[in-house]
This record gives sequence, structure tokens and C-alpha cells, in this order.
Amino acid sequence: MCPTPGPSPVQVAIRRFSLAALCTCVVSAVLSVAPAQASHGSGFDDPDNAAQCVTSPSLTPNGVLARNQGMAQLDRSDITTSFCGGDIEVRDYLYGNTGWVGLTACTDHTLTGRCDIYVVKFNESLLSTSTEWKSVGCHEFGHTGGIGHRTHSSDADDNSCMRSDIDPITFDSHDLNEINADV
Amino acid sequence: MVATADLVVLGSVSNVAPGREFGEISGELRYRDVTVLVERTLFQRITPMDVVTVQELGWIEGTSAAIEGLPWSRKGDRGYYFLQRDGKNGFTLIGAQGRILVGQDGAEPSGLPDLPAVQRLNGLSAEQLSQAIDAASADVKSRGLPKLPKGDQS
Repeated sequence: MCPTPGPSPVQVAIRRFSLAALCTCVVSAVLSVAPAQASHGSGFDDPDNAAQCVTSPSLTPNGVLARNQGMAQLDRSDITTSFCGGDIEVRDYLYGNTGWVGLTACTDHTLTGRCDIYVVKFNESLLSTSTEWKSVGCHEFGHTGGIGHRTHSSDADDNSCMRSDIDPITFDSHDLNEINADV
Repeated sequence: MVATADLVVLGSVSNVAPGREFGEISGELRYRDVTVLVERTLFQRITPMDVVTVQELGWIEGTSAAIEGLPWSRKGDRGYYFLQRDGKNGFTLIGAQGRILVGQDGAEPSGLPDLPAVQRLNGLSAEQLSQAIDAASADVKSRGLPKLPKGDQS
């Protein structure tokens, strides 16, 4: 497949455990700069409808765990998921030391700018415990619900899987409200 | 960031070209190979080198794609690169925050702009940035902080 030239590549949301926290720790130790105020995470491409078909050829058992967690969490919102084709394509693989444990991208948009097809990938190379797999499943499927990342400043009780520095395995009420507002 | 890196360099992008495909199926993911000419090595766990090839995400199933907060590199970019080895294939950035370009207005860190670490770096002068990274490198070296093993970065 020839790559298409792209002055405007699609945006890809990624997650890497611990990195943000570690960076904060190391950098704050050496910089004498006033702490900045963090705000809400950015959004992501909104889904084109509330009935999302999930297809996931050849997932590993851990990948199934992650996918099922993601689908179960989305089903708590106004989005309904089912096993069929065309909306969310999930894969897992030993992608290597890529810098991300999970990735979500919208590869096909509708004319109104909503997302028709999401691809979700879990990186087996960097995931180990079942909690990590479930958390990344929840996180990436959250992006397919149109929501972005959270930080401690917007998730003070540390219970959203949309964080990248900790690994809760569920959406919190704020996440659910955001998803419902998007669909 | 230094603590998680195998190599931290200051350098300039001399070339960008399509890189290798990877993934489970043909064409699933493809990198862009970013050639960085190294001006200075600030931290290394490996043998320093004059030129490094940084693999950055370029395409997903044929669609051009860039990590959120980490726009595609361009020829002429100059900045700090926090790199990790990816097996025998070269280097990748340690994550979305792994690049800090140095522009006319100072530091331009990659990563989502609402992250506190990114906000702290944004707009630092080139000199402040250099001093900060040097200090972080010295701190990591003095503490002998072990790098997290691959696959156990949780």
C-alpha cells in the first residue's frame, strides 16, 4: 500500500501509562517555573451515530478482555455496541516499543465531520496486567465515544479511565455525560 | 522524560521519508523516518551517534496520521529529542511528549497542551531549556535511576 501524502494527517489519540506522571516528576524537580493550570482534556472525533458496530479479527485473550471492557463501558452511555462491522475496528499486536500502549484514530469521516470508522489498537509489547488491558480498552473506546484525555485537575478523584497516568477501568459520570452530549 | 529515555539529543531534521510498515496485516501502520543530525548528546545509555533516525507514526491503513499533540516533523525542525530504542529498528520518541522544538519564541514542547508538564516547558528560552535538560540528565545520572524495563512500563 502506498502511503498517501498528507499535509493534514488525521489525529491519533494515544495512551502511554506512567509517562505523564514520570515526566511531571522529573521535570518539576529541575525547573523553577510556576505550576501551570491544567484544564479539561481535548475532545476527539465524535461518532456518526449511537449504534456502533465492533469488529475485531484475531484478538488475543487479553485483547478480548480490553475490547469487552471498552464495549461494556460504552454501553453504559447512550451508545449501544454490538458485534458487527463498519464502525470500530479493533486489533492487538506486538507493535514494539512505539511509545504508546493504545491508539485510536478516525480513518473515515462523514460529510458532516463525524467519524464513520475508528481503528483501535492495543500494543501487546507494552501491556501486561489485566487491569492495564481493561483500562486501555476503556480508554480507547472512550475516544470512539468522542471524548478526549483527562488530567488530575479535571478528575480529582482519579476514577476516569480517560487519564493517561493512572489506570482506572471505567468511565466516571463526567465521561458518560460528555459521551452522551456528543451523540 | 530523561529517566525513561535511552538517548537525549539536540539536533536538526535533515530529511523525512516514508519508513517501514509494521503491524499484523500489510499496510496496517507505517512510520515516517525522520533523520536528525545530532548537535549535542545530553544523555545516553547507549553509544552516542552523529545521526539518528527517529520513527514517527505516518500512516494507519493508508491514511496519513499524526499523534495528537505531536505534529509531523518537518525538514529544518530543531530541538530536543527524547528517544528510546525500538529493538533493532532504530528509535522512537518516548511518547507524545518526547520532542521539544526550539523556535524563535523558545521551547515548543510536544504533547497535549493541557498537561502540566507541557505547560511548564512552553515558552522557556533556549538557554533555560538547555539548562533544565542538562540538570535533569545530571540528576538521573547521579541517582542511577534504572530505566523501566520494556513491557513493564505501567
